[in-house]
Amino acid sequence: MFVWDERFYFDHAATTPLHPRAREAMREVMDLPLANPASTHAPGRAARALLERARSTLAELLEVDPKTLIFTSGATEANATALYGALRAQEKRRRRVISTPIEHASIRAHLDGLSALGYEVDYVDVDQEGTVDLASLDALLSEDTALVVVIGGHNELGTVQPLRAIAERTRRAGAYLHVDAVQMPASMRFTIPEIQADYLTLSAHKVGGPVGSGLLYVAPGAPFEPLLKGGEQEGGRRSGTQDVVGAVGFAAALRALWDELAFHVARYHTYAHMLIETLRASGLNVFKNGAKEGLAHILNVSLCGVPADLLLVRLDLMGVYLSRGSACAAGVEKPSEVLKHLGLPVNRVESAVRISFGPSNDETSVQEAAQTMAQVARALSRS
Amino acid sequence: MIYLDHSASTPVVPPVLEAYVQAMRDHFANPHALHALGEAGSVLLEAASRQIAGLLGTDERHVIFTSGGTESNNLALLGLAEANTRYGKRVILSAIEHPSVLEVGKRLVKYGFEVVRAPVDRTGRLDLEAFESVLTGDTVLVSVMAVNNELGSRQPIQDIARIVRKKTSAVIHVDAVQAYVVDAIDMGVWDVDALSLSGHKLHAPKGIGLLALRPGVSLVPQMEGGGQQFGLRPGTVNVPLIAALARALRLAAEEREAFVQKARSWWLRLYEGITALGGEVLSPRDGAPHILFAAFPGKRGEVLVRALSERGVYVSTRSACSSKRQGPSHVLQAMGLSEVLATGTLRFSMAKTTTDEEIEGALNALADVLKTI
Repeated sequence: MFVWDERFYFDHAATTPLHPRAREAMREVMDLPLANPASTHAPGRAARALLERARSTLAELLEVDPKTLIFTSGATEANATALYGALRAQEKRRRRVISTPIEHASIRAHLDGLSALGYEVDYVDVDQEGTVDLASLDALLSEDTALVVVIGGHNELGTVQPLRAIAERTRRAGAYLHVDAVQMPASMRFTIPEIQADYLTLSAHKVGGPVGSGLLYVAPGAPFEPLLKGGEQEGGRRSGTQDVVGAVGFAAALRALWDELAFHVARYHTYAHMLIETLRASGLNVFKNGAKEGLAHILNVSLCGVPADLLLVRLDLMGVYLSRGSACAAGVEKPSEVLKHLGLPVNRVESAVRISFGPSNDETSVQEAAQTMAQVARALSRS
Repeated sequence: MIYLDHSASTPVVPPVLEAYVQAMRDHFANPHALHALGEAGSVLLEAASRQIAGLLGTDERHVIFTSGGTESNNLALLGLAEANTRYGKRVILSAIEHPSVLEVGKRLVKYGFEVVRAPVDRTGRLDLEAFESVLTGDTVLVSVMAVNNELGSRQPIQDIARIVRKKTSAVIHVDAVQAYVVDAIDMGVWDVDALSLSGHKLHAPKGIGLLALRPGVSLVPQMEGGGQQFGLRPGTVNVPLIAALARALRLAAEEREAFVQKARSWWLRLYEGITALGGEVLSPRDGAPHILFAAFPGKRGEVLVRALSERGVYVSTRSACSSKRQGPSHVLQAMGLSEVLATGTLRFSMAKTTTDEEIEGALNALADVLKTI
């Protein structure tokens, strides 16, 4: 078994270690013989009660009716379900979609496929920090717009969108808003009513829960058709026997994370500051990418003149784990398409790395990692 | 507690739980992250794929992990149909498939496919002559379940495959969710192209399943994303649940023979007991030994289930996936057993965790319930 130190894991935007409280909650349920939550007998009802308790916990945290939450196998499925469901249900009336050019792959690839189905997809302008230009959104919204799709907190940049303003504009045009909020809970406590999204995606394994559990919020009355068909679980909106243990872990993780969130976020700000200062002090040319006031757990920096791919490989060998951007580009570390799109100079794109913090990091490990990074980066920039 | 509803779900057994917990502890990193942690996860993933491929008689690069049987069936039907339209647009399903196949069939109709439901006889077996007559050259996909989830009827998969190969270029999908624990599966020997399995029907946790393909079979993905699993099923790969599934599949294969023997004796004991109590066993004798479906004339199924459950005996009237559905069982209708529709039915389903005492206890409770109701 590969042994490593969790404190030097700086890739929490890819996936997070299981939170001890999530592990405990899952362990309790796992040790029970769990029946099918759709079965009508007592063991089935007991499994269902566990599932519904998890749903209620999440609903309470997000301040929505539990009936609006659908458990899925993860954010990729939740995003696919939202897009499919919202568009299918409106296909006779509205066939235009507006999104941003910096979406996660699970949205981007879906949007690319829509034109073949007779949809028109328009992309709003974003500034160099990745923030949506509201005037450009206003110009694109029309009475044919079915759906606006926005990544709420960016997975590479940490940039948070002005969601309330986007929601208001979308609603005025008679369209619906989907928010991919996967990265948001790791740095912000929010409620769905304050965002006013019609659809919203969350993922357990980005908040200290297990891989394989996701959530889709569908507002009451929002147009919807299910993607997965079959036994009509989840109120007919998502067929398939529910992963009860995963749902329980998800709810426990989000509750635990949000209980401690203020404490963590304050530390992430300190870590980011320490890292940038240490890198700068060693004489490196450091640029911070993304918004100044974005998600605190995501720090995207360019170390100009330092090839990011080599930097990551060397750091990996030294036991410091970070990435260039999304792990969802499945095993390829290429310069970020998102940064390219922002119009950053080539040397900034090619030297950009993403450091994403989590509860397992501490000041000592961040300080040590920063020094290691500075050392390796300087050696690389000389060669 | 006497639990005889294993066709709905099975308890996770300790060795599987152990594999799950261990992988959860050791392999949390995203297997697609390029750092060393991600790599350790991907090594485990490859080992699991290799083992499972070996158990199913296919190639390790053709095992696609999903969130469960429903997703596997949805992906198979939509993805295989869409990938093979060059020969035509006809899809044939048996009339007694699981809702996750039949409902997707309705969607295929919307997409312009012609979906035909092939009839079954009174034992739930596909009528091969009728099947052959609807199997035209423009058929692109045939989907048949190996073991029916309500009755346990087995389909003659190899005979079906032979007919399909002779007449068409269609791909064959088999929903083997209920079959794996009792039948050795070799996709090569069965000569089928795609096969669905679900973890929680064989003592792995809920939330994991797979779709196995034979090499050379094309499939159009039904979700978009980060290109994981050869682009066929994106989404962060669930390493702990996959480790659990691999362990469960291996155990089930090792224990299959012993389980079949035990299940057969329980089946016969239930058959005997239920018949003596005036029930009529509708499951065919050559069906899967872990599922027994019986009718109780003059009684209502829900009432029987409730009365049994008050005595700590848990069975179902039929599929849990249909428990929300109003109206009669599509399976019984398709079998021409409409006279049974008005009467009460119970499904007893066993697993390796079942005991002789549970079978006797269930029969005693049933005798008691039938007397008082």
